Amino acid sequence: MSNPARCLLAFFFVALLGGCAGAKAYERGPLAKPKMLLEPDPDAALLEQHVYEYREGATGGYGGGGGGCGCN
Amino acid sequence: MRLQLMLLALATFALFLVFARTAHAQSLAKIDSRSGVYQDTDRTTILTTNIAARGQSGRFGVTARHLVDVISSASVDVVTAATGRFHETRHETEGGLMYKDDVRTATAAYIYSTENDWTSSTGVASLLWDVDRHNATIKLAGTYVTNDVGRSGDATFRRKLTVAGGTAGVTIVASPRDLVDLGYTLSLLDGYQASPYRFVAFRSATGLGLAPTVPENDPNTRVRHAVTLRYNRHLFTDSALRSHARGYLDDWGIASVTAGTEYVIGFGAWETAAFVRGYAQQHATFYKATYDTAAQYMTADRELATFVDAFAGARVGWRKPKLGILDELRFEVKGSGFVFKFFDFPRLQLRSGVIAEIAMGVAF
Repeated sequence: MSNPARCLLAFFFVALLGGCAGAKAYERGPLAKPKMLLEPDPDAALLEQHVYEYREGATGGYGGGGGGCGCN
Repeated sequence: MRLQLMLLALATFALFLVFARTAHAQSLAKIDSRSGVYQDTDRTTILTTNIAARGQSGRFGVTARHLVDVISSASVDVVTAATGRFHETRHETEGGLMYKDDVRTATAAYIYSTENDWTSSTGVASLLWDVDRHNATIKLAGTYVTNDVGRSGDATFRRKLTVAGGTAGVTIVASPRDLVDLGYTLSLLDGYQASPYRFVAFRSATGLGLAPTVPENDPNTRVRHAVTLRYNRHLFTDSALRSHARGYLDDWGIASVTAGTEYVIGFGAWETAAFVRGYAQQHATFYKATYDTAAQYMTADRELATFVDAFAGARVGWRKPKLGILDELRFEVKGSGFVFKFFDFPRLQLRSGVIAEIAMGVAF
């Protein structure tokens, strides 16, 4: 990874950690809702990522995975 | 082999459920099915059905899943390979285990996938660890895949491809309504990465394209990097904006960006969402639409060309808790459309299509 990319990544990480207030247990109602999950439906995500992975040059970062081609 | 694996996974899951329902009051079992149809203007149709069963008892859980892809295609790739429309079926079976306590979730899974000219085995393991009073979660995951690549009608063609990958990430509760996730994924590929069905085109002395006759040849190794940022924001009473972005680089010269967002609104038992996603990539360094002379690496793969694509769609779901003997019953329908614009792939400059899905799930 080039130096500018590394610096950008470090900046994001520090900014995230430094700027986060968090939430107390009694404040977590909205966060606990299924629609706030990063991956609310793993089966839907699996099918969706499969469509992208075999039609685009990039992969990774969104979970999914699994084997086989199913390329077309 | 496929049938034995599927039966083993289902038997394991059934035994677990029997044990769990009798031994532990805090057990939960879920069965989900999702079917979809994909159709595009490149004359490709794919029917997909996925059935998953998940059980959890106390701190332990199991997953069994089976997916079937039925593919029918006469795309430009097939034309390049000088064959007609082909039909094939892919089966994918997964068995997984989970351990979860107050601050840690560990998972391990094995996935076996097979079709007439491709077999793969995948091992996946992940660890999520909550820190800072559940205000941050550290994620580590690893994947190892072995692939056996064949060529239909040619029993002598056998190639290997292995993929090793790892992900490190952190999810942060930025506020009572904001969730931020940052991740980095590294993948190392080693082995055959071309297609035995694709042939590259050469330009003749007159400048006209000649019929593709030489098999493509990709490098054997590839190192891929992806950095992902996801941001979920809870809005109003019961809605959320879920956004994501990814930057990607590899040593074949591909650089790409992905960005998308989804807005989800709940209306009691109903939930609806609309989403958009865009993608742009720069071609691999050895990719050319046509080659003047033979080169060490040559490809006719449009996934290595320069292109942009966009997806957009909507989904509607319904979820009813406590319905008779069921803890939950849910349905979902989803539809999306997409378009690809290729800038340096003459055989296919534009591809569009639709994807429709229907899903049903029960918990008991």
